[in-house]
Amino acid sequence: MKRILIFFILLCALLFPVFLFAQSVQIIDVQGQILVKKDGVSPWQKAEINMILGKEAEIMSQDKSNCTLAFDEEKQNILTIKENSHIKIENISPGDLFLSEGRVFSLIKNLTKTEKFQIRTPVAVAGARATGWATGYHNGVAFVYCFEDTVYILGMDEAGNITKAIDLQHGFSIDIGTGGKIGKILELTADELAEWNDFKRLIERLSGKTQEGGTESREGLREERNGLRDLRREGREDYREQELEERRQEEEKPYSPSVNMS
Amino acid sequence: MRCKYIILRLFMFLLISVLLRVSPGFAQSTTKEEEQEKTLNVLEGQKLQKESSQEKTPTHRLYSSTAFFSGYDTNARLSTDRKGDIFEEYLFSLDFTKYWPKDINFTFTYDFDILNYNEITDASNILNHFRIGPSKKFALCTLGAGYDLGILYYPHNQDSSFILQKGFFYIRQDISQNTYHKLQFEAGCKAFTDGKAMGDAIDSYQDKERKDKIERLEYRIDSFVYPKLLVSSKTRFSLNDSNARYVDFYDYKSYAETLGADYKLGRNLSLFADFTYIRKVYDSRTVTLRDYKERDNLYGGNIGLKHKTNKRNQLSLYYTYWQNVSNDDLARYTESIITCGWQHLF
Repeated sequence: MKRILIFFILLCALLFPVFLFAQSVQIIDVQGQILVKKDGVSPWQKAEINMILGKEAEIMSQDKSNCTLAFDEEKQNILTIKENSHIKIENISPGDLFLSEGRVFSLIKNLTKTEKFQIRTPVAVAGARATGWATGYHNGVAFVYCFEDTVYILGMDEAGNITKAIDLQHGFSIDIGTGGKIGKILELTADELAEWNDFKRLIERLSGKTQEGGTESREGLREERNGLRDLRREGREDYREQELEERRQEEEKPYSPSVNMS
Repeated sequence: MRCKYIILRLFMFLLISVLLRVSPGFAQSTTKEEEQEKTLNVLEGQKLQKESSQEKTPTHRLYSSTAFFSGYDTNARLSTDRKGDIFEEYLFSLDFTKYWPKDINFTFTYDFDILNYNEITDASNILNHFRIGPSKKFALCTLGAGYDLGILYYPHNQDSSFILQKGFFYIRQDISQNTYHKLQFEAGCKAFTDGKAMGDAIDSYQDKERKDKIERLEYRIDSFVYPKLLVSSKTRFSLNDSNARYVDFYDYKSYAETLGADYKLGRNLSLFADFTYIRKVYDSRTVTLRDYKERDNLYGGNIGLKHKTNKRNQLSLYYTYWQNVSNDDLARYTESIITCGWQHLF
C-alpha cells in the first residue's frame, strides 16, 4: 500500500507541471507604438518582438500601430491587435481576451476539440474553435466579422448575463449594441476582405520572420551585401588582369610590333 | 483503508487545482472597485503613452554593423603561381532608409572595407562603397533609381586602384508575399586613378588613365519556398568598353548566373550556399601568342554557416572557390579561401 501511495505522489509531482501548461504568449511582430504590461503587476513598457507575456497581461496600441501575438509555439493561433486598441489577456490556454477598445484579428487553427478561443467585449463574446475572425469594440458597440468557418456570438447585458446567442457564418459581419442587442447580419465588404487578406499575408511572412525585421529587410540587406561582394570581386578581377597584362608583356615582348619595327 | 482515504483526498486536491485554472470563459461580473481600478489603469496607460512616447510612428530605419574576418587564400594574386597568404578584413556597413508619405523611400548605404594580406601586400586594398537613391511603391511594382560609387584603393599597387561610378534604375515586383523579382539596369564609368591605358602595342601606354564604360542588365528573383528556405537566382549581362587600344584588351561581353540558397537549420543557425558561372567573351583580345579570341569561363561558389550568438552578434565560417577555365593558359587560375568572421549589429 505504501508503494502505491509513493507511486501516486510521484506521478502527481510529475504530472502537475503538465496541468500548468506553458501559460505564456509571445509577441512576434510590433509596428509603431505598442505598450504592454507583461502581467497583472508589471508596469507599462514598450513592446518588443519575442517578448513573453503572461496571464493578465495588457496591450495598448497607438495610432498607426499594431502588434501580433502567438498563443502557441507552432504559430497556429495568432492574434493581431490593430491601432488604438486595448486588450487584456485573461487566459492563455485556451485563449480568453477582454477587448475594451479597438479591433483585433484572430486566426485560430490549433485547438483541441474541447478548447475554444474567445474575445470578450463589454457587450458580447465572440469565439470559435478553429476559424478566422475580427472583433471590434467602440463607443458601446461591438463588431464581429467572420472570414473563415463559423464564429459563435453571445450578446450580454450590463450584468454580464447572456441575452442572445447566434452563430455567424463566414462572409458576414454583425454588430452588437448596448445590452447585448444583436444587430443585422451583413455581407463582408471588399475592404474588409482585403484587410483580412493583408492579415493572412502578414501571418505567412511572420512564420519566416527573423529578428532583423522581416523578409523585406532581410532581402534588402542581402541584396546590398551582394552588391558589395560583386564590387569586391570586380576589383580582384581587375587586379588579376593587371598582373596578366604584365605577364603577357613578358611573353609577347619579343614578338610585339614596336620591337620588330625598331 | 486509511491509505485509500489519503489517496482520494490527494486526487480531489489535484482535481480542484486543475479545475480552478480553467477560466469560466463567459461573462465575469466585476465589482465597482475593479472597474474603477481598470479605468485608472487605462488612464495611466494613456497618460504614459502621451508623456513618454511623444515620438511619432517611425519615419526611418537605420542599421549599422561592423565585422571582422580572417582567413587563408590559396592564390592571392589569382595567377598560375598560386601563392597563398593569410588575410584579415574589416567591414563597417551602414544602411539608412527614410520613409516618406505616398510610399516613397530614400535609401543610403555605405560600406567601408579593408582587406589586408600579410605577405602579398600589393593585393591589400581599401574599399569605400556608397549607394543612394529613392524608390516609390506603386500598386503593381516598385520603381527605384540611384547612384552607386565604389572607390577601390590599392596602397601598394596603385595601378589597380579605380573609382567606379554608376547610375542605376530598377523595377521590382512582389509576385507573392514570399517571392519578388527585380530588373535593374546600370551604366557607368570605371576610371583608374593611376593605371595608364594601353596603347597600340602590348608594352606601350597612352598619356591618359584607363577608363572603362560599363553597362549591365540584371534580373533577380528571390523566393521563400519554405519558411526556412530562401532561394535566389541572379542573371546578369555586362558590356565593358575600355579605352585600352591593344587588341581592345579590356573590351568584353559577359553573361553571369548565380544561384543561391539560405536555409535556417535552427533558431540561430543558418546555412548559405551559392554558385556562380560567368562567361566572358572578349571582343578582340586574342590568346597569348595566338590569333584566336580569348574566352573565359569562371566558376565560383560559397558555402558556409552563420550562427547568431545573441541578438546583436553573429559568427560565420565559409569556404569560397573560384576557377577560371580559359583558353589562354596565362589567364587560368584556381583559388580557395577559408574565412571565419564575427559581425556585430549596433
